[in-house]
Amino acid sequence: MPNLETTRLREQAAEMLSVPASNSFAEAKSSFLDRLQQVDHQPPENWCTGLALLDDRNQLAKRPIAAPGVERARRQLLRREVDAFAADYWNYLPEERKSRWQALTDAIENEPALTTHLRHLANGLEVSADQFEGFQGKTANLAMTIKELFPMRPPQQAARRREWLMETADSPTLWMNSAIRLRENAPKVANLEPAILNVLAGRAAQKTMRPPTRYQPVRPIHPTTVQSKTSNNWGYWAIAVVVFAMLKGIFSTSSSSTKTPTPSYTPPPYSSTPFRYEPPQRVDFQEFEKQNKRPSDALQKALKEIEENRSKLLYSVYDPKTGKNVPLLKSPPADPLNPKKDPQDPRSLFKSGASP
Amino acid sequence: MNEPSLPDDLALWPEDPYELLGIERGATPKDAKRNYTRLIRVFKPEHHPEHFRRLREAYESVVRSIEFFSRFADHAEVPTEAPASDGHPEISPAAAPRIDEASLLWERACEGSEDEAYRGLQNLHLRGDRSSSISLRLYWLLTLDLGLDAEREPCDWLLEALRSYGVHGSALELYRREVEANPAEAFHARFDELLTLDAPSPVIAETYEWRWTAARKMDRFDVIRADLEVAHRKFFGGDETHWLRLLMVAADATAWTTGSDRDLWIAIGKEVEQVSHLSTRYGDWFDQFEHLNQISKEWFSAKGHWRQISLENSRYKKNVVPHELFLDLIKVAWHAPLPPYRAVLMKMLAAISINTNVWLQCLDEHRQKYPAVFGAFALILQYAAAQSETVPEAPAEQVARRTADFVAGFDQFKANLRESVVQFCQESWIDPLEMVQAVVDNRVDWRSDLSPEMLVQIDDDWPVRMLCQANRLFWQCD
Repeated sequence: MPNLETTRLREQAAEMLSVPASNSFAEAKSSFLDRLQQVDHQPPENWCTGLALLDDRNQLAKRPIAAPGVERARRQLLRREVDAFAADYWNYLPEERKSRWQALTDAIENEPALTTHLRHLANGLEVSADQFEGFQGKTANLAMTIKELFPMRPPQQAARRREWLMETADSPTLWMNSAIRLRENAPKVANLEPAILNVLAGRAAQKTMRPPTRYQPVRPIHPTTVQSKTSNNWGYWAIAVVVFAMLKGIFSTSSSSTKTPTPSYTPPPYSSTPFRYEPPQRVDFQEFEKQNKRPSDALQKALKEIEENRSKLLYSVYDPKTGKNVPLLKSPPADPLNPKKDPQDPRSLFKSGASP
Repeated sequence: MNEPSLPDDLALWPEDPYELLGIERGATPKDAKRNYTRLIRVFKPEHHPEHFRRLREAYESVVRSIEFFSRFADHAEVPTEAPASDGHPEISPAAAPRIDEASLLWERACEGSEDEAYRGLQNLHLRGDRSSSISLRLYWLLTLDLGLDAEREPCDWLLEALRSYGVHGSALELYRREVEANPAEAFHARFDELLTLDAPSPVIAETYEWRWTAARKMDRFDVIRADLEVAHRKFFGGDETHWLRLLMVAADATAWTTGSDRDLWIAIGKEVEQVSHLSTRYGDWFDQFEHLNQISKEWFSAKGHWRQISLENSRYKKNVVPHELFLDLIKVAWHAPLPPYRAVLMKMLAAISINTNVWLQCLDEHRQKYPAVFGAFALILQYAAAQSETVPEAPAEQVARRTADFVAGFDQFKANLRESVVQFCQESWIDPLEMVQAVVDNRVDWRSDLSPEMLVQIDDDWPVRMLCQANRLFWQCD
């Protein structure tokens, strides 16, 4: 990418050396030498990198003292270029966007993450910015969110997606309707963010097809609270059994056809409503009834098991001899010879017993 | 000569390095070393790291000072003042004109007349000025322009500084950087000479460590083999703590050797046995050695297994690729900083992001058959993550909300729980443990086909967790 290396790379180099960007290599070198004594002839690595990047003859960049920094700086620059392209993605006209994408793709080699990001961005090359316009209400919100999410790198994308899905937890059916509307009117836009549409679909399905719970809400695992919550459960169970008996009576006299519950916009699935036993859940409930076991008990047991496992093992691996997980790591020792040793040294990690 | 004794409170320690070491001006390096050794026996680094650091600095400062003034012995008396606070000795009047000349030449270099400055400084050096700063200036001038001197390389000037001024300070640090960036330097005659220079035992041990790390990078196990004997003579029976440390470095380097170089690994094992009396004091190092031994055994076993499969049936060759990548990574990344193996790691992470299922299978097999290797991989991922870009953690309420979505919608993907967890965690940038924790903390409603037993399974599914971490690392390591 010749243009980049001659312009932005120079700017970056000048910044590293704290010299004006207009400085020539000779001027930067003078400044470098002048300041060497201040640092006891041990300049920070970025000074060497900066100077090497300004060297038009490209000789210094090959010197061991500067080479690793130069490689890293070039990589960071490419990353910034791709990020800048992604940030301006929708401001380009499709043709312009395509040619910029092609230029970046051609320039980047052996950088799998950048290549993967560019490959993802290829999916939107045919979509113009105006395809996100013309919607109203929740559909417009959804379209704009997709527009914002699509060019982002996965970490930022995931964070923004989580945030949006948090904000839109209410009214799943309305959001699903908006998603359907978007898919019908602008399928190319909708296809850019399948993850978010899947979640909306899942929420709506949960709301419309299976509103009641088969499992009790999770009970705390602390022994003090378990007592009180468990006693509350008995109340729920008593109500549930009465309701179930009533429903059983109703269904035994009516026909076997089941009616899909009418979609409703309230309440969100988060509330800890008691059981509402309706046909799709009845069979499951009977199963549990037969086993004389409450689902919350099973979950409690599982949670206790998790807590016990975690308190026992810092880091476990499967031992084929015993067929169990065994702790692999030892307790943390100190390095007597090098107390300032990098704590992220893999051997330090090995010692500290940290788990991945 | 004062018997060294210092209070425990660092604030009460004298600033003057001579006073700190309990020696008088005019003392010999031997006196300084003797007192320093006595003091560090009292203030051991493992118990008093800050005290140890102060003593070390004082000792280095005094040694520098003694050496500096010994060169001007014909012209001036032994100094009457302490070295300057920055650790550099003050310049005696006899030496002053030369230093001024050096400064003037350096100014010429800063003005762009590097060639003139280089020649001038070189002349100063030839006339007998062996000051460290002249050698360092020559080093930098030559580093920036190799054309200034056809007969020398920049590292020659570093060695000159170390030779004339003692094995410490800026010259040593610059030489370390050179060796780190260019491992071949560790096999040059210059480095051989460095190892023969008079230096404190920890410094010698450190220089061997650089060389053996370089040997590992360049597969020059012959160098370790040759050094091992010399180092044995230097350290064994004397500074055995440093000897043990060096053996650990050698073990890290040679654990993966094959063929005739395998003897070296065995030889190191025998050396470690010879210092087994240190096991009560440095038990963790011995445990570490055992652990490496176990990983190494499993690593060879796994390597042989996959090679055999690949040879027996070329159809399976494709399936073997992930295993080979996995094992190669362990070899290059074990106890190494991220930059040297970043390319191998990224190649593997890219492969994981493309085909999660194949990698799940690969990790499952390693977890079952080669648990130590599997554990080493976990540590490498964690180490690489610690050295990479940090991404803010998801807020707890968002984790709970997304986990609730996953739990509620579980019936859609129950056929492939593990793949679904990986995909979900990738899309949400949430760790599987965070998911489970959200449930454990009672932040998630439970209304799903996802059974509690499956939750336990997710919590204990290390391969899935590692894949999720690998997927995140792919972007963090960028």
